[in-house]
Amino acid sequence: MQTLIALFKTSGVFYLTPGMLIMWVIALVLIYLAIAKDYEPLLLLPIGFGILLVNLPLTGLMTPGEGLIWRFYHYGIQWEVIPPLIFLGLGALTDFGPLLANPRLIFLGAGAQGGVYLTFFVAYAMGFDLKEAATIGIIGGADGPTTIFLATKLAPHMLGSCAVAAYSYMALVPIIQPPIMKLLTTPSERVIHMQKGRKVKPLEKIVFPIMGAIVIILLVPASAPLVAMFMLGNLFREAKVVERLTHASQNELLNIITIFLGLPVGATMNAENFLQPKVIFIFFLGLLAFMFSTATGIMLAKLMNLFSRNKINPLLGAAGVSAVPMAARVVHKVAAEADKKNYLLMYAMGPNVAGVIGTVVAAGIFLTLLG
Amino acid sequence: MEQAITIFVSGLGGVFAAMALLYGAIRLTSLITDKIGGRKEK
Repeated sequence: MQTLIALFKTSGVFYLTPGMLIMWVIALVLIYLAIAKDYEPLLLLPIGFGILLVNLPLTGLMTPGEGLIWRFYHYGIQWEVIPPLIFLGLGALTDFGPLLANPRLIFLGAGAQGGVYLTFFVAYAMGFDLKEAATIGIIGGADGPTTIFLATKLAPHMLGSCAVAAYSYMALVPIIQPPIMKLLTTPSERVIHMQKGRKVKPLEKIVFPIMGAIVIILLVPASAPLVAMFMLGNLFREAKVVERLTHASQNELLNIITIFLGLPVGATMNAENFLQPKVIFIFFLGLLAFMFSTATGIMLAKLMNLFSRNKINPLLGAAGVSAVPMAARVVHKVAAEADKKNYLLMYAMGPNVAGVIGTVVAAGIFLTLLG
Repeated sequence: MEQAITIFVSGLGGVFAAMALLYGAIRLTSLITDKIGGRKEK
């Protein structure tokens, strides 16, 4: 009998805390949203499971130097391996054609970063320190790997909450963006048809990732890990001579890396770390960042129209947040509601991919100034 | 607060500067490839 009691005392049941049980509920909600609602399932499913695992007592999965998931976290995320590899895959999946056809739309990708910096400012005014405020602000860029990359460097204690906020709001782009888009544009602006872009030559598509890497890395060297891999992946794609590498970057590598990204990110969210009043503010500010980014993108498009003969449909500004291709689809849908014949999807892909670059540059600047 | 304002201004300015340079790079590339394409057509 005593042996049985001793055995029972070594089981985790004895060490469960109310906080852990609350985290189980959060984990199960994320798993439910991923499976039943299809909310960013590739990330929210492993993140949810990671949260569940780290809130089971005595597992030692996140014990520094020993735990299995800690090793994924340490060698994958802290060593900056996984986010750049994700960017390699994203680069291989990205078509810069729509951006090269309408190069002026690149500025909308910069305009949407206004939300990142506005939120940074609000977060700082609310009492977060500069590094924490920068990490919260970057959520507005709607780019999960960049958020993780920056959080790991500036505020590792906020990694889990910021990543979950970023991926959750990315899934909610079709709900968050349309009211702001309709509020900030008039019906006559929403029906503006875009002028057809120029024809892009294959050579331009090959030159762009090379030129892009040189320009951005020269200007913001701290963004090099992400930009370099993003442009390399794109060069694989456009060169059309390394189909195997392109395919591997787009599929096997990206899929494997995604597993090793989600699980440790979720596993950083133990009850002591996560169940704090600050986390509520992080989620609130993350939402604010998304809304600000949408608004600043639209406002910049309207500003550009003041100086341009060929008017831009200001809805395209909302695609300047990086959530690719969700934000572009939302722009197309809202424009089509105003005019069924207005096909904005391909035009919206321009600012959408520019937004990815813009967010990486913004993260690089934060790192340069605060890292 | 002063540091936050500096980061806000220089950060946003830096993003626009990067995009402006990229825009210039795209336009330059298209000009050069157009020239090459034109020469080949002749």
